[in-house]
Amino acid sequence: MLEIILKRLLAAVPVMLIVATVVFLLLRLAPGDPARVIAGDMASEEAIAQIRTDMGLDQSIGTQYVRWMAALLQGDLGQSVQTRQSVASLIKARLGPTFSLAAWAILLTIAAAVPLGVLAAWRHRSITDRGIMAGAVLAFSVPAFVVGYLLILVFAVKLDWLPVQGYSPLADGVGEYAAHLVLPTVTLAMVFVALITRITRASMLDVLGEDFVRTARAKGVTERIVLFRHALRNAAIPIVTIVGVALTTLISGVVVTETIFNIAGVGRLIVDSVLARDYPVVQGTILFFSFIYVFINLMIDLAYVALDPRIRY
Amino acid sequence: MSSSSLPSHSLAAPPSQLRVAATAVLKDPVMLGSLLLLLLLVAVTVGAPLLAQHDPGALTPRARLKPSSEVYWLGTDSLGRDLLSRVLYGGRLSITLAALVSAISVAAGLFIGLAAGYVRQLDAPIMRLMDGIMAIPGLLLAVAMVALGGANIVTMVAAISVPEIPRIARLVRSVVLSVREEPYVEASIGAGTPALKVLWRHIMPSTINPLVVQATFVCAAAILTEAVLGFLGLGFPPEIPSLGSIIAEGRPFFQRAPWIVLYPGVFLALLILAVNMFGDALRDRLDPRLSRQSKG
Repeated sequence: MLEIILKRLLAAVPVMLIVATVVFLLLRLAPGDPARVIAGDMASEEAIAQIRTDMGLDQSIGTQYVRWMAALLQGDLGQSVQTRQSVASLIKARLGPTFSLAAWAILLTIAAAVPLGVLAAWRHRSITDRGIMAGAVLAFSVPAFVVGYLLILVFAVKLDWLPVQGYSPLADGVGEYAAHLVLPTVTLAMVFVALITRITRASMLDVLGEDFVRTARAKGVTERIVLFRHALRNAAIPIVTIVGVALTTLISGVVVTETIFNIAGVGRLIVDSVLARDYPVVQGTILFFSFIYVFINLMIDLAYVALDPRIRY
Repeated sequence: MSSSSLPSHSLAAPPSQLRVAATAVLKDPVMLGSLLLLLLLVAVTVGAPLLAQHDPGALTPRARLKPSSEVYWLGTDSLGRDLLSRVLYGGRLSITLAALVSAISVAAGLFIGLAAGYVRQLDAPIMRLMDGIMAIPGLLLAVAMVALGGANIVTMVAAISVPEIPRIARLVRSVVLSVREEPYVEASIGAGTPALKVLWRHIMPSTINPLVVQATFVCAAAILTEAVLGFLGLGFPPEIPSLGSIIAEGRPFFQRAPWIVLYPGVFLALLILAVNMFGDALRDRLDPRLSRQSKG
């Protein structure tokens, strides 16, 4: 097991290096003078020169690259141009809401999408199946901000059951925390539920046609155990893989959802930083999200071994 | 490809490709329905100058935040601009941009995928670069590119295309890798056919069906990303109506005038739905390997 973990870790290193390089090059390959872009249209020549020195943009691209990588290896994501705070501390301060939102959305997705997908596959080609699939295409197509505003209109404005926007930390009471999270979680999870339902159904359909399922049914195993113990376990790997790949969708969704509901999370940080031309924060936040993506996919690779004892790396 | 899978009825000349395609569309209600909806949406946006009674930028301070009426079919926004014409012109922008993004990302992905799949030395470096780009959430990459390049059409198209390219390149590469082992390709290589001709004549045709399917999904993703960028305030400048920015501008007035958010939202949802459903139906027809996943 230890060997597998080490091998996978090593395989993730080049991906992270490439991510860091792409993010580094983004600023340098942009048309025009990056210092001027960051300073904005109204900035004086001195201010631009100041930014250029602060960010090391006056050095050769090679030197800049080595510095950038060296800083990253020490966990230094850079420093905000606006507030002079470190990017890491800015992210840390806003991690709570984002983490809550993402975690609940993933839990909701698994709780809703897996049973729906199994049901659709089990009742293949029935009205139930077609209904679930139609719902999935619809949920996949309606943009999050449309869903979000519809939910706000119905549940917060008309019915007045839930708050319109904002976030309330868990420390201030469970009731408020939950009430503020319901609509954002549903909004964020929507696309994800649609996606995972489709994958679960497809994967289950493949497995349900296999001989061992017929054997299990023939020897009188109850349908529930056939579905959830025999079939779902074997259908799990594609599902888990897609959960990992779709994380980028979830991260993009976090940015949109935090904007709709005015939640001061990491997703909103990136948009605010773009609007404030605080480019080091944009870079740092993108890197942060990408590393999380790589890390979670690494965890998923390791989970394969637990899901399927036949897999050996 | 599809003609060979249909039963041939007689010794007469085989039906034309166009007729085969047309019968296939007519027989599949989902494909027909989504295609008609898509054509309708494209038609109303192309016909925007005829359909819209008002200039999308014309300000009418007397008629601010008005609900739908005979004069303003979909009502007005906070500056008294006609929402119908703004939605139609916004939709026009979305569709144009999506078409450009699909064309560019498919062309780039095809080129990169062919290179990685066919030239062994290029495979590893290209695919690692693609993995790296795929690890960056697409929207964030687009956001960063728009932030640096400015919200003009070139940057927008590039920003939305770049995150889509790796997936297409991967798809093309996987097709190339499986096709190049086929006896007819090996025979052609063995007979000394130049590499470019092998790619063009024997390998590229196999990539067309999956690429057509993929292009529809890129199209849907591009429409969504453009709208999201507009919604976040990072899209085109305010004088150009885009579906996302109309929604963003309607945000502060949402409780008083929810239609400003909802009408463009519905248009956007219908557009993406039509493209996605058409893509699904197309995949079921063109890609039997994948159709199992959705139809069984």
